[in-house]
Amino acid sequence: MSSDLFQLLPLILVAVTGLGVLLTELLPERARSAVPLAWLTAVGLSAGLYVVCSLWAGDAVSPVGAFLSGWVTIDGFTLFVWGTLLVSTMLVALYSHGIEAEQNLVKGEYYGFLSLALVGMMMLVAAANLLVLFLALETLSVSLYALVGMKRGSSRSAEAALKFFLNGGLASALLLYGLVLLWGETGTLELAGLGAVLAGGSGSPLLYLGGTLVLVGFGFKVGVVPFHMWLPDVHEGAPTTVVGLVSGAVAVAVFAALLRLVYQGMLPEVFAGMPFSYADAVVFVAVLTMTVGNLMAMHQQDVKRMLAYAGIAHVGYLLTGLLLVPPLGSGNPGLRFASGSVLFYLVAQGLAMLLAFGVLARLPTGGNDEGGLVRLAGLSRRRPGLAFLLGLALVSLAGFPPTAGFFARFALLRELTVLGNGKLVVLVGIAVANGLLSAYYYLRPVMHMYMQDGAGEGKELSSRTANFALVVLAALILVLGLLPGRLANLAKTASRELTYKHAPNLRSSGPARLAPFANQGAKDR
Amino acid sequence: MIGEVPLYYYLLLSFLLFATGMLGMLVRRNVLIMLMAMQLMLGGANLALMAYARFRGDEAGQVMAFFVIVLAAAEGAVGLALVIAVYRHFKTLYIDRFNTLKG
Repeated sequence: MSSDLFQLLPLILVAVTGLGVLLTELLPERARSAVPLAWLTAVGLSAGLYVVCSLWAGDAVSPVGAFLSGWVTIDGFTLFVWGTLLVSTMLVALYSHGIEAEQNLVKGEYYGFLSLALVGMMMLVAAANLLVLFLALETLSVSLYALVGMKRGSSRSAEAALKFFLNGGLASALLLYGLVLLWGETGTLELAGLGAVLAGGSGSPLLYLGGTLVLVGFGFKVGVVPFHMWLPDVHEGAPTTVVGLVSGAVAVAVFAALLRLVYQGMLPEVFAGMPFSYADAVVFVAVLTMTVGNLMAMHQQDVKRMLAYAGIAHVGYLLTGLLLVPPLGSGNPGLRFASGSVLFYLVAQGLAMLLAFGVLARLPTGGNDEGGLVRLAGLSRRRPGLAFLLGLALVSLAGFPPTAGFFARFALLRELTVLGNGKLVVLVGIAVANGLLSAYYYLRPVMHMYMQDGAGEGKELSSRTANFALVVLAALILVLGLLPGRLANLAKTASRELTYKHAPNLRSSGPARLAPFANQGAKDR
Repeated sequence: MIGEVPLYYYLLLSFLLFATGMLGMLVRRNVLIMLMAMQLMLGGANLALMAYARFRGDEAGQVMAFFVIVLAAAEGAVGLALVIAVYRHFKTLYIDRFNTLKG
């Protein structure tokens, strides 16, 4: 019981931070403005980060106690993603410093909901049970609805929040109904148990309907193409720092949860009852997502909206990583841990998105084209530092060296080619072509910043705290680009705990399950 | 007696509720009606939960139904607040008229 609580301590610390920060709104006016909420949040989250690190250093693989077992999984994967999310949200809190007044936000509510959204994200990653997963998604979503609509007096913010809410509510309801069907047909909601039942392949049609509904609901949240429509609106209308959180942290958390669903849960098994194979479905959706994202991004005049479509394209690249699961029946267990490169990609993309929106949040607001490309004109003269940082973020997103984005995409595509399947080589070709295509729209803002003149319509915000956070982000991106080895190893260690457990051929043959561990270990050294 | 009604009747009813709600979300353009449709979808899921709980003899379903009820209330509260915020700006409840975002 007590060790259970210690394992949940990061979550508890973040929740307490969020509630404490919310309560500062009760203080009298003068005392309230004296509290540095950005730093307070950062301190609370770093306490959580400290516990995560000590759990990792201690015994990351120790299973949770009886009290929590079957509800949450706190393994290396969870801890790795928790660490990433804590750092991301901390940096968002820091670079929001000084923005509240400009954007007309209520300070206590803003920072409070940042932490509460983080609680939802962390629960989401740790969920071992579909009910926990659903509640976590809702904790996250409801906090985000509030954050997106928090800019008072802005019709765009309110409109974005309402559209987000309607889309998100529909997705949640689909997911819930699917979950109910799964529970009703199997009597369990634990990912592991569901995976085993679905892999049996003899379920009723309702079971597969349930699985499909869960996947569709999740597709909405991840931003997979037919269900991506809410993302651009949210990016355009929400306060820019909140957008940073959405595409720098929430995207990471949701995709990590999808990874867990794939590896420990049920995703490939749902396709056992369908006319097309899991691999075909993933290839189709991945290609569709990356292509539509890239094509739509090309003709956007609003940088925030453009980055929304760019984020969708990145989801497409990431989806190809789901192919690294061995297909049912054909054991290629050596590749079971390959999601290490997916994790690295998630981190790299998240950092670059955070940096991009952090810089954009420094630009003067007002008017209706808040994120308009023209506003960037001449930024390199007015604020060379900001222009350089935004350029760095875009270059990393486009996947050029020497940034983290380059290594991330290289590693992911290399692992795909190692699989050596002809269909996959075509897929890699499409991904590379898409990457080249994306250079066009990533470099357009850079051109505007460096090659065009413009006076700008106001003064860029300036805050030492925010500058600190932005420089930290830029340093991380460069370090991960130049020396990716250490994080790549951490990611590999973390994702090794997400082993693929339910394929019948792996379960039936005992020694075959252990062999790949030895194999992989030898390769690492 | 409840035991004499087969499970699939309940499931059919819950599916009808859910489908009605989904149709409402997709077809209606009034935000308040869409909000009600969303609640209808959650209600459908709840009915299925209760029916399964009864027929499986497993109380976990009823516990989950409580979670869903609480959640629907929280979501509804946030949703209504957003509707009010939007109404202040646009003076209308029809979602087609909310067009400041180029989408």
